[in-house]
Amino acid sequence: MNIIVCVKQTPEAGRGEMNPGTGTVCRTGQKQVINPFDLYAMEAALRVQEKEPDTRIIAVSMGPASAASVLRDCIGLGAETGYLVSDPAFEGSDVRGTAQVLARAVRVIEKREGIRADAVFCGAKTVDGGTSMLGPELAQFLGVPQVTYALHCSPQKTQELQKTQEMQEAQKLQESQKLQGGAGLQNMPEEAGARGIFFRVEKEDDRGNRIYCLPAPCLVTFTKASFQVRYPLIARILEAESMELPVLTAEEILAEELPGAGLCGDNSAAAGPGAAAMQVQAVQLRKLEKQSQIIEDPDPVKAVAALAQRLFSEGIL
Amino acid sequence: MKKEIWTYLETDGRGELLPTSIELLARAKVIAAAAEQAEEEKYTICALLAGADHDALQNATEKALGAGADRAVLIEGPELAVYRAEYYSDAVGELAEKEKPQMILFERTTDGMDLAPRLAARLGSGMISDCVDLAAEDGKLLWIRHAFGGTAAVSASFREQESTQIISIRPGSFGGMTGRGSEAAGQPDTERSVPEKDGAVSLVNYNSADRAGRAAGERIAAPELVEVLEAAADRGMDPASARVIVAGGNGAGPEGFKLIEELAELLHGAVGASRVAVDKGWISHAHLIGQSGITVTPDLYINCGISGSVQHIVGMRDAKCVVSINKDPKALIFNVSDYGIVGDLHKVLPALIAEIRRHRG
Repeated sequence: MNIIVCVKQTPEAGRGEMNPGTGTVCRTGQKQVINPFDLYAMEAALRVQEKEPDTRIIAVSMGPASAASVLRDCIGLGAETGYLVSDPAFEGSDVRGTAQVLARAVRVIEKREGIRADAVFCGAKTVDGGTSMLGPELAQFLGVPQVTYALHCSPQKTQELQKTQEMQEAQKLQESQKLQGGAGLQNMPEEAGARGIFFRVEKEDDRGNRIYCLPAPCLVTFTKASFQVRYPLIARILEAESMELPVLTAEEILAEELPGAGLCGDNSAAAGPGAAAMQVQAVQLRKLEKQSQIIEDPDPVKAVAALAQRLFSEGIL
Repeated sequence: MKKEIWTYLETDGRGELLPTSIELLARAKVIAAAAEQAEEEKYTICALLAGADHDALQNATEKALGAGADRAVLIEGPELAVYRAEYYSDAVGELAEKEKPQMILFERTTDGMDLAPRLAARLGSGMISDCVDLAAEDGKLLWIRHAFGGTAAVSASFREQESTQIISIRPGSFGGMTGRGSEAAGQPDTERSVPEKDGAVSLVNYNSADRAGRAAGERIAAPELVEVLEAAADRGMDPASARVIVAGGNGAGPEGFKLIEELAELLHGAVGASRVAVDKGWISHAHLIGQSGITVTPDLYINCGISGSVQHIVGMRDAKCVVSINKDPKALIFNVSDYGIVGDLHKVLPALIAEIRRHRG
């Protein structure tokens, strides 16, 4: 089992400065942390690994050089390595550009590591932009099914599912083509369920949480579940500090094709501000401070009387 | 591009439009009026519905035509019986590629957040999500959304390009344009001269196999819905568009939520909750306010036993008046409150309820 986890470096507590000129995030002078929702994704990958011990977890992050620290956070938690996708050409990309780059990065990582990703996990949203768009866009560009805002995800035992003769044949064919280095065929969309790997995913939904059976390869985005995320291991943190992390530049990324994903534009304009579909016109910091009037009377009836008097006189009640 | 605004509408499975979809149609009218003024071009509003139950879809279509749509398109097919992004983005995407509408609007619902970005990627479109307002400048529409947990307002426009614009809208928003937020949904349309309603309903049959280049028997990979779990305690009205919200957190407990519900009812408001309350099963996720729930902008937000973590605050800091009740004088929630009482909510709430009743006589 192979899981690629996409993570992003964000300002702590979602507070940030934006450069009004470019409409992009100013990362200097702010404490940078791993996007909390990406930690939920890492936790989910580690829980899959607990059930399937031979699971490989590889992290990837698109960002400036400083984003390497969130990759090291993932290694500290248990990822085997982390790929940094970084190039000045990608700076100022919008979500679509980022999704295109990450989709290509997944394919590059698969080639470099000699694997096929069974799942791509990421956070349901980021605390800076907060658009919730990346996951589904990435799934579309990869041509895989998705479940967003998932709470839990566990691998389903393949013996619980019947492998049909066709699926087995398709799987054998794809395995042999991979060995022959059939590059063109490697990009063909897989027959759903051909791999025989399925995930049981619980998705958060106001109408009642939904349980899905999701065939691999797939993409899942994670929101906060009721369990706590784990802490990194000291030994792993130290290892991560000294690990050399592979860096993917624009040249290698843009050489990857994304067939059948309904793309627009040419490869060279995949990312960066020039390819962005949206143009930010203005960014305004919003004044949100309140003048607090706190009543500390130990007698609740008196405290309420004082509060109510104010609320009624101000016309709030 | 066809000067048309598509609105992606959702139903409850019995053919009734969801309240969020009715709200979306009201927004579409506002957006169409703004676009018409900015660009000096006529726009039509087209209701878009997809599914497998013909009668239910027809029923919803009639409601949509009555609520602001000029025409409607139904995409029907057995593969669309249950919502799945993979099939729905294929069905809507195929139609949008053919008809090239200027905009497709989504309300920021569970399905909307799941579908709209996938569709945008498919169409090669730009998308702006979770819009809270709209402005116009130099003949262009400016879409406004919040970033950084609500501390920044970003206004953005679409670049001129030959692809559909995808926009998702935060429920209960658009206070600026409409003047009174979601209440405008019920107001008669006086701003926009309605084009001649042809009331046409177009039916499009969808079958994923009808695609040049798709191999026979090749299915779209999609998740299969196995089970729907029961939602935890639902406590009345949806807080998303409520003008008054009374919310409870860790300090409340099931008893506290009874008092909270009572106060909410007294004030004709909705009940809200922090993450902890939802995790403990005291209330359903539909009432969750905060980073992994919804963001609300009521006139009055009374919260009880909520400590005020940043994850919660990002969901309610825009409330006009915040009243907080907490045992801990150092609770962070007091930093973002207009008024506060340091005390036990189990004692304060009954006193507050009694005081309001007394005042009303």
